[in-house]
Amino acid sequence: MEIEAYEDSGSARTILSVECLKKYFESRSGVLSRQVRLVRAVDGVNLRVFEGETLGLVGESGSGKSTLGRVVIRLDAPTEGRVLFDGRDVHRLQKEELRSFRRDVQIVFQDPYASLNPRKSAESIIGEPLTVQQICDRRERRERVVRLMEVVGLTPDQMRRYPHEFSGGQRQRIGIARAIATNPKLIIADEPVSALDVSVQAQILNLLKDLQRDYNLTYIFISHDLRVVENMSDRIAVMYLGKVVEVAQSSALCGEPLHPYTRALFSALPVMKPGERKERIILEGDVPSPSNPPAGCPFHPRCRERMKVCETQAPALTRTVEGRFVACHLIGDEAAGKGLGRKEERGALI
Amino acid sequence: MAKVLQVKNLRTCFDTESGTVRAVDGVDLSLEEGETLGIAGESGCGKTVLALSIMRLIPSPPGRVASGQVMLDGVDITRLSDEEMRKIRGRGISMIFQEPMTSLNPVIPVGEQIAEAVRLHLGFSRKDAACKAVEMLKTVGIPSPSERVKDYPHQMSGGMRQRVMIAIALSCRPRLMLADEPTTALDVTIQAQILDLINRLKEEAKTSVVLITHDLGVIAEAAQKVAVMYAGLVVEYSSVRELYYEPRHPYTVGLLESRPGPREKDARDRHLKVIPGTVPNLYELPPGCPFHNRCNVVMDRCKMERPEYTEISEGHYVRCWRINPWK
Repeated sequence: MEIEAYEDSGSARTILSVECLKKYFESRSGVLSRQVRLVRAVDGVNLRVFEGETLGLVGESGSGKSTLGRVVIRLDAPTEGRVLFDGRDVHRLQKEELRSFRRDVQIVFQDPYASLNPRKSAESIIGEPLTVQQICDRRERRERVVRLMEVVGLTPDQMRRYPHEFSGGQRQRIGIARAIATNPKLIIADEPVSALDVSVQAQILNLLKDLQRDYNLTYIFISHDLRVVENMSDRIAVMYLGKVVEVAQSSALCGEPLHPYTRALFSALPVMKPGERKERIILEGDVPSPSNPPAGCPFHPRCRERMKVCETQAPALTRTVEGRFVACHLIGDEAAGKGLGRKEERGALI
Repeated sequence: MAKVLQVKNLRTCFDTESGTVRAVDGVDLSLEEGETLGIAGESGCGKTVLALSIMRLIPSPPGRVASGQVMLDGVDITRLSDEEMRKIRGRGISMIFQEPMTSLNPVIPVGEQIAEAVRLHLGFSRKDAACKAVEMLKTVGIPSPSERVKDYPHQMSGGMRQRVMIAIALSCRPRLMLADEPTTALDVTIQAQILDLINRLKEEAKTSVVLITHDLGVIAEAAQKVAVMYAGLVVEYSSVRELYYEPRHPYTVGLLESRPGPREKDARDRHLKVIPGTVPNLYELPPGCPFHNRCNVVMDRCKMERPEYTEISEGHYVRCWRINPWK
């Protein structure tokens, strides 16, 4: 089952597709407890990423966005489903294929303080992927590191310094230099600017955009900050409790969010200037625990527009007339009414 | 209206082996009853040290309040003895700390932590204090409060812990509440709940609030006055409206412009405006205006002389030679 409906993406090639992906973790309630609970961190996600685009992934903490990122780059194995990169199943790659996957896909982590080895110099951090991947020899390695440092806005004379001698923004630049060292095609940026001050945040976001333009990179940009995601992304996927609840072009999603959860998220954003009043939907309570998700639609206990059906039936991600995807009975029924077929037939790839 | 808080020329220094750092370097502020003052600025600008100085919680040594006054309802609290100051905390001033995870006691149930505050500061009996704890949890919107009082902090989510912090801070109906990044670690939906709560409780109890945050959106949302800090100095202070619609200091302008906002229609270039460079190290502050090496309208004078804090229109103060060239 596949929906051939990507008018808005033009003829872009799919670089990555995530199919019915699930990732469950086991958790025990105590050290000695035999009771095992399943934490459904990612619970049936379908997504596509097109070459050269930035796909934003937003959601509150615990929505599963980071886990999804980790499974996509094979830092974790999926419980069910698969991830295809350039048409090949990422979790079945072996030897040479795996090595080339590791070259093509890189990650930039959130915390520039924790993700760099404090006992290695900037040169060896940035140069390590080059050695591991046997891309070049020692002499050429130094030249490449110099070049990479210049590209990300560091000066080569900082090469011998250690992470603690750099500021937060500079460390994130080192992390980015390390990520682009192998000439990757896809970069997962997991909250890359969340630990940074606004003025530095803007510098790093601009750097990521420049690199994308210059090296034709594809990004999966994970963040809880809607404004940052809106600024960076071409398309945005909104996650809630391990599920994708809405996917659309960035301008459409931010201009007119459809899912009640997306609408609540946007209404909760602080205003840009005082006096800009807008309707505010205050969500009751916290995100439920992914080890004990509510029946039916995962959002229904907090939803102001819930109906009877929401308590029992989980809505499938459904294509709307405008080519957007929403998992909500309110919108699903509308779309069904417009002749988009019966519900069971949907739920295909996005 | 009565001035609840007046800070005059406050300086807080830290004496370290590598030299003396002036983390707060001559700050003047005032706050009226029931008002919220937002303090904005990036990390390392001295926001938290300012709050701790007002609370008199600066660890000494190495820190010390070197000069200045902090007037709470007309009384200079920098001159009070430790014993007298202890009486001010809780009833006079209370504080919500940045990280609810580390500032609650992990081995005491949350209810007892609230009860402790009212027993100490208001002289409640054990029994009354226990009732008050339930009542406060209810006020801050925690469901089934009579059961949750027995919870330990780790049994609660981040948003709930922050509510407990607020419950403790408000339990004695203080005149002034200092909130240091109260929503920074929280998701936007929870942040909206917490800001809503602070606003509501503030109106009910007429508490004045100092809201410290690096998020200018939060200040736009919740404050009436704003002070922008840079390298231990207040560089601009005014009503919220004026600051957002007519910012004067180049640093304020830069901060406001570097925020990603709703995208303009059909904008091809999505690059954000940036302030070049980073916050200076307080050990190596440049002479003159501390912002001059990042400033896009810098003049020769800025490199030599520190600009004075000047009132450019009623209630709007700026520390910049560009704005105030005649002084």
